[in-house]
Amino acid sequence: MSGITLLMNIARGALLAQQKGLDVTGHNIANVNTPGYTRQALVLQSSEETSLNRVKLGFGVNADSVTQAFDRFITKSIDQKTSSLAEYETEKSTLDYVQGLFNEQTGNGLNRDMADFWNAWQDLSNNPGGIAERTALLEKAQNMVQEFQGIRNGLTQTKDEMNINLKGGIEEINTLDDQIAKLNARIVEAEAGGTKANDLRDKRNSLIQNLSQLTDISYLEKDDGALTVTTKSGVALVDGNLHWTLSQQGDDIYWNDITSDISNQLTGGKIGAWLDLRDDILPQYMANMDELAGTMIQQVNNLHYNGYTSAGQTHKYFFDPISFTAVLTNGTWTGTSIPAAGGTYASTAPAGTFQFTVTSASGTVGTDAITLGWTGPGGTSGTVNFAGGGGYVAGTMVDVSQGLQISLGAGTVVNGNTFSITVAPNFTDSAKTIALSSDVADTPANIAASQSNDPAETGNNQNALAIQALQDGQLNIKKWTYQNRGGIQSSTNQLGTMDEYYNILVGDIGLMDSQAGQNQDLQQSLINQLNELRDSVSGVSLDEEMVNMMKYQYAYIAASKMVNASDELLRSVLNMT
Amino acid sequence: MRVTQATIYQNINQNISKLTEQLKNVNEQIASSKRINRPSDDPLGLTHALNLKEVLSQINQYGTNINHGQSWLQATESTLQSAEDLIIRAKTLATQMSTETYDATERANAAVEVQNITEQLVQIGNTRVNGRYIFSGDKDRTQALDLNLSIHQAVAGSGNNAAYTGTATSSGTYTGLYSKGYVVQITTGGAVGVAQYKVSEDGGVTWGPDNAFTTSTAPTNIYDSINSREVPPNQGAQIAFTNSGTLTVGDRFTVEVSQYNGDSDEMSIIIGPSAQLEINVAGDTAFGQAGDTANNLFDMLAGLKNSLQDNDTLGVQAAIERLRNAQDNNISNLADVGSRLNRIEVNRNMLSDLEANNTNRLSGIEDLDIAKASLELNSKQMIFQAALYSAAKVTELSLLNYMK
Repeated sequence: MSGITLLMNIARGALLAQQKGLDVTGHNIANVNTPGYTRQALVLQSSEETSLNRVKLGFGVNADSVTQAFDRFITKSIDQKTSSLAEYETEKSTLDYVQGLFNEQTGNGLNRDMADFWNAWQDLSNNPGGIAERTALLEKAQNMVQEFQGIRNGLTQTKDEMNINLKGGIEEINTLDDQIAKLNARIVEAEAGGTKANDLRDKRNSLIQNLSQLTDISYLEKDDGALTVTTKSGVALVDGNLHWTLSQQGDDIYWNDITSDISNQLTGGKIGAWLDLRDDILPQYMANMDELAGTMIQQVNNLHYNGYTSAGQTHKYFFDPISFTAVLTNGTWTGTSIPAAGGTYASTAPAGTFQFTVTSASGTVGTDAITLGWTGPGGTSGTVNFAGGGGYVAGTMVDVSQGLQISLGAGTVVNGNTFSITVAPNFTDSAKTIALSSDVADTPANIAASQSNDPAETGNNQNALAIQALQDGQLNIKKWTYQNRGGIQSSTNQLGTMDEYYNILVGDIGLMDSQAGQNQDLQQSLINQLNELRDSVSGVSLDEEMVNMMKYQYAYIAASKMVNASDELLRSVLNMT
Repeated sequence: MRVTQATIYQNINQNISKLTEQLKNVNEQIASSKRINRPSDDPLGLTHALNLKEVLSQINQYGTNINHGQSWLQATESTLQSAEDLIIRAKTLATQMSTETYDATERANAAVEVQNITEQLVQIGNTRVNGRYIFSGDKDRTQALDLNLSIHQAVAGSGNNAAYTGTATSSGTYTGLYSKGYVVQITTGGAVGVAQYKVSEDGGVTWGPDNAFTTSTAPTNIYDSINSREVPPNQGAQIAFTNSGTLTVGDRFTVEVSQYNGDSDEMSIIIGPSAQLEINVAGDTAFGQAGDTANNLFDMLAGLKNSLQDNDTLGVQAAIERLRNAQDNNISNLADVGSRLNRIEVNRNMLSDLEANNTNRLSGIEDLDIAKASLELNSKQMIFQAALYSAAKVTELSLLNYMK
């Protein structure tokens, strides 16, 4: 082929190619504001040249393909940072709420309620017989109790909300996985012919970014264009056109309905933040609030219990008493009889360890008389006797001290053998269950302000003075740290007053919140930079597209002139005859 | 670098929203005039602020306590001053009547005046603050003094052996003129009826002879043969023991016969961190112990009155000396109260210094420097306006403006 027809063909090809260029430019302009859209470009190629009378001539232009200005590395980095950002954002917004629970900035929080409570004891010490002072003390105590409960319940609710959020998040992951798997199938199908399915890929990339917001993921593109997606720790989510669902059951998350918790394998993103909040951060604050409330109950009750009411009565509780747990540990114990702890250890008795030693000769429980010597907390000691000759029935509880009981099972005991029982107050849920005891709640006269059993000593304020002194009492209060999603729960003793303990706790939350905020800002600025980088490669510049449009437009006009020219040439040839 | 429209718009968006947030923060700080509006604004500062708030609340409470203590001590002070006047009047009267220029009728009239003085003393001794008797020790709802002597409840000694499980009860009609601090002490151990005892009238200084219980349960008259002018033996106070357990040698039971109904306990208030101050003077400190004839003001007045009625000049002269003792005692109590009032004043000043100091520190942590914040607001405002202006200019620029 040669001559005018060739020219005509070249012009036709040029028209089509420039037209296509305008189409691509139009597509770019149309998507200038589409998130995740990757700029496309038409690849033009000159047609293979041909030899005509030893002159090499080109055959014009070919629109070869449409490519995407896509940077895999930046996109991957953005996905990762998106996870971190979503994690910190979620943490920050939750902690913002949590620190609001403490309500300290307005000066109406527990800090003030506790100060009011102690001050009310001082008011009472100024007038121990005064009903008004007693009633005011109960009111202040009730305010404090409610504030404790309010904070604690707020924390519990926030923790429960994390599970609701998780449920939604997991649904979203499943939906995204499903969509990605479907897109995988379509991309594989579309690209089987060799052309790139640019817009489908864009769509898939933005789904991947949404998935990254939920949790840390890894992904890999296979040769056929399909993506394999796993969590960072390797839990498979999507492979080709297959995907696996996650489901939530209580606090557990199952993969593919296999009943084994995989929640520890989900890190980062909103899900990671929710799990961290649910299993570490919130339970830690709950435990510390419980510790504080428990200490308050225990300390006040211990003094109150031994004081005297207006009527000269004693052994009244101020708060509902705390229960004790008794844990038995065998020391050297070679006998076959199994010792057991029982009874209800008095809640105002000192915590500590009871050490038991078999002081009688070795023998068989029930048959021989057996004596255990013991030493207990606070320097107490004594003996427990188990009668021989059938006098003691194995397994029967015998009093030791302060309500603690022990029993020996059937079998033998060996002289000199030891075991110990550690009694410790059980502070779990204290901040939730803290309440005024029924002793005092409706009976202000039952507040034990006095240390004299003589009801005539209406002015005896010794016990009120002792209790108010707790405000400045330096105590060792356990401070809990939860790590590894509750896997590690450790505590250290923090020396200070109860009020200080609380103030530091509020400071901790503020610190954690402000750190989450700083991390969020950092991740945000990193993402901004990466987005700029990504946009500089993949984004649509209107000016650029305008220039391209003019470029294609003029080329189109020129090509149409070529059609004119060849038309005229043809006409003149036709007119020659 | 290639800059796209998306980048420009995103930057504009982010910058403006960041600036808006900063403006909001400055505005919030100015509106609340607080630098810290939530724990995360300054966690460490907040912890300090909370500690300081608590200290301030404590200081405030100490102030309340101190006001209360001051009103007690001032009432005590003025009462003791009135007592001082009454003692001086009694002493002057005794001095007058001890001279031989007065006759029996005049002395009898003086005796009536001494009775008046006693009554006034009882009246001021029953001074109340907010309905509470300030001279009753910590039995502040019990009237401190009666005009007449009464037999108080028998009290087992704190050092008693616990082997005696019964109770001792006092009864009888006291017919004596003077207060008594009867002490029954067991001298031979055993059950009631077997044991033997001795009796002291003056709180255990001097003792009568050993006695055996007459019956096991009947009230046993515990008066005995201490014979002195001021303390005649015709008293009529009795103590009975229920027969339960064993009395041990050394066990003591006290029966006070006095005008005073309170106890010797002190009442303290909190005036500072682990600082307490006693705010009362117990009636037995102010007017003398029961049975302590040398120091009990009521006994002295009763003795004086008796001597005047009996026209006994020697007795009147003896009373002058004892009243001088009472005056010394009263002055020393006044000095004590005065020094406590002084301590309260010193403490109040110290607390107000402490309050000012802590308020300043709190303000330094928590409060906003308004001038600085206003400047910041201005600069933020300007930056915000500049950013808006520049955004408007940048977005105007487009090739489209030049294409036809």
